[in-house]
Amino acid sequence: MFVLATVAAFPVAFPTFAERVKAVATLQSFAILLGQPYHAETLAGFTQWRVTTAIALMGAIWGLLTGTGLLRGEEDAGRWEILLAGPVTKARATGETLVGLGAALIVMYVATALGTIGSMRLPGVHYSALAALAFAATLVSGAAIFVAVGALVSQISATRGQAATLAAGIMGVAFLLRMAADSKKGWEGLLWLTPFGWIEKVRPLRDIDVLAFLPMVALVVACVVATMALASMRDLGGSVLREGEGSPRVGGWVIGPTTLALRLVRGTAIAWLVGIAIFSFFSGAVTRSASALLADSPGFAQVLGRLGVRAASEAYLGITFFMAVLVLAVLAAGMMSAVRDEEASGRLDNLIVRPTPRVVWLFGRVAIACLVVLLGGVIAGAATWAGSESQHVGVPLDKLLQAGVNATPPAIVVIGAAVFVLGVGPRLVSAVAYGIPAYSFVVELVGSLVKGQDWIRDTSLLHHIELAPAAKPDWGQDLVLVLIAAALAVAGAIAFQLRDVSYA
Amino acid sequence: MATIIETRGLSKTYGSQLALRDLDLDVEEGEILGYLGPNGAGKTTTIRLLLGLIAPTAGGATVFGLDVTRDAPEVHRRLAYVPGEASLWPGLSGAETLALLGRVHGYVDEAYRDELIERFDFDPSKKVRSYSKGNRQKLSLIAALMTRAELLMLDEPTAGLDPLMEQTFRECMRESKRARQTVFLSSHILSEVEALCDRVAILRAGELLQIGTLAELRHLSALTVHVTFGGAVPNVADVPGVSGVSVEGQRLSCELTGPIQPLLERLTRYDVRELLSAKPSLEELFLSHYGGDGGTA
Ligand SMILES: Nc1ncnc2c1ncn2[C@@H]1O[C@H](COP(=O)(O)OP(=O)(O)OP(=O)(O)O)[C@@H](O)[C@H]1O
Ligand SMILES: [Mg+2]
Repeated sequence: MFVLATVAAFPVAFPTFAERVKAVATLQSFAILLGQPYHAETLAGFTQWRVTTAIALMGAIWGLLTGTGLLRGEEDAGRWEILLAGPVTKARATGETLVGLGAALIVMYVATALGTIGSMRLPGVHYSALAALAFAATLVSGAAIFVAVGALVSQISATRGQAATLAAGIMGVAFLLRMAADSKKGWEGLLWLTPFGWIEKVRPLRDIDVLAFLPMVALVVACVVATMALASMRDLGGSVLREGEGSPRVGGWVIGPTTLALRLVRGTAIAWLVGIAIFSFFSGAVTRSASALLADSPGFAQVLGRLGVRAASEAYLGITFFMAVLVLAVLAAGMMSAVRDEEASGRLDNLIVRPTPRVVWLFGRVAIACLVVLLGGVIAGAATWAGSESQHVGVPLDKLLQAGVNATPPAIVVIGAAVFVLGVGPRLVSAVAYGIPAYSFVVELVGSLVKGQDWIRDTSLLHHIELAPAAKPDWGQDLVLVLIAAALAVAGAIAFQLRDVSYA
Repeated sequence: MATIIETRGLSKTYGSQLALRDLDLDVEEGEILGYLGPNGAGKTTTIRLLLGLIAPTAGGATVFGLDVTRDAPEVHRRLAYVPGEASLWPGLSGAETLALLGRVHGYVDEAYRDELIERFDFDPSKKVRSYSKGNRQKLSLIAALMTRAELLMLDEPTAGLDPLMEQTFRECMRESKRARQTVFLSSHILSEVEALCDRVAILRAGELLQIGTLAELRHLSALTVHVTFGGAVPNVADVPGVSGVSVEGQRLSCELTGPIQPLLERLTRYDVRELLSAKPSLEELFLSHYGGDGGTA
């Protein structure tokens, strides 16, 4: 629903940048992230470039979480058993869930379309109603595709976590392919291989390519058909993929609250860290061609001047670490939601009715979350360096490691804020933890164009991080963020110790 | 004999919803206290308060003479708890769960643990995810019993166990009693409470209705008397303690509370053919407290 709000709010924000379209060139450096700008000097071209990939990406994340959550999460929780005990077959329950999801997507589409059509009335906008409708379809397509992918992987996975990880992996590969396609002249053909490529190719507002909708529709239909087929074939709670067997040894290494926490986050953390490593290595490996593209762009010298950057490659790498900041913050949000889930499910009771003080448990979970984030930062730095070194770019390792560490404070703030919310309003932990990076991302995209409204940008966490290695990390500023996080966490831990345990 | 659990004015409200009001309760060392009450009466609330999982809105409680909130870790070292529906980590195996919970508790009687696994016919090698409800319940029972803790807090511990396992549970409780462990047993299975408990507390809508030994509770409650006469049927309505008199031909039925002597004196003057009197079962007692219709359930 957050995506819905964002999508609806986004077009409304356009008028403020209508007259600032000329500033487009300065944003060229985001090309790898957002796709190649296409006629970005016009409002239409600019809008579609600036908005499409970002929204599609957020929609995709929403889609895969919702798709796997409703189809695998509900089943894991045993809630389907009650449903299926009645005169309802699994295929039918699955079908009805898919229809519900389809309805949600339609609502989302209508809201988006109202927004895009509404934006036509703004001064300086020249696109047809048809184009606006197509634009809305493009924006929602990411959510639609990954709801379908999420539904399909839910059928073959053994647990919700496994389904979400698998879907996220597919999304990651799709996004990397798109980045590859946009990172080098002559690689544009790759765009046809990935949903994000199709989304980029549609260009609904300027020279629309309707053909790009075809693979999207085909993929969604194929996923839905396969989902229904698998749903009617397998047992409730059954799966194609097996989950790993538990160690039969008595007295393994899980001997306390903290080792238990390690065991619980292990799978997710490894999946994310490997994802970060691959993404970073790849981002590093395309530094040369990507920064060559940047250097070609007209406004680039200007950007370099403003950022005080010496080399185009460092400017480019700064953008990739912007991505790392976001990914780490979302990873932190995921780990903190899991912490709350431990309490809500009643599993925490097993520990705190034994001689484990609540804060000790909480401290273990938080320490592990911080370590995973820090490890993520270091891995991002090291893998980017390895990637760029494979192409002899020559940015030193220590600089990239610093950039990696510099990417972690927003995630640490997410952890601190989540602990605070855990103490004072435990039901809101997930919403706040995921909300912070999502909000910051939106503000970062919109806010850079809203001149004179600096306070808005100041509310974004991402705004308080220097884009190392393009800029020098501001350790003082980072320290302030970490201290804020620590203060929030201490207040939250005290509240948590004093309040009642709160169940779902 | 030491008092293990002591609550004074213990109360809990959720918003405007009263869950427990002014509970004064003493549980003595070595006794098994049955804690009864209909759904929503406040049994689980009491146990959570005693475990320090939730904080009282008024009053307080001590366990082993220690404050349940402030000294929670110290209290928890000496007790073991079985929740009504154990929520465990689906990804851990039974053995891993036992190892973890044992380590967290700090002490495990390993020989007894293996014996319990045997007696409860429990397979610890599988993942918790794959256990049936009854098997999960066994797992959390074993995890509690293997600690040989001084105090056992059991919230419907046998929910989901089959009759055979229910027997095993009762044996374990008898062993606990011999070992002078104290047991706080919340249950809906009245036969279990009747078989095991030294004292019974009955709760309704957050308030303690009665507490005492089964004999005391029975004593307080009415004795049902049926008398069949050879000749004339006397009027007993004026005898102290008698109520609910009904006559059907030669057969008289009434309820009697208090001493039996006055009624007997009156009856011996008549030709009594048959005299039947029945103590209410715990089930009848329980039902009579909740406006049940006489106890035939
Ligand atoms: N977290 C909560 N928020 C609001 N009300 C609650 C909460 N927990 C319990 N209650 C209320 O407190 C009352 C007592 O609940 P409790 O769980 O103690 O009952 P119980 O005796 O254990 O019942 P059962 O036999 O069904 O287990 C109920 O009316 C319940 O609705
Ligand atoms: Mg209960």
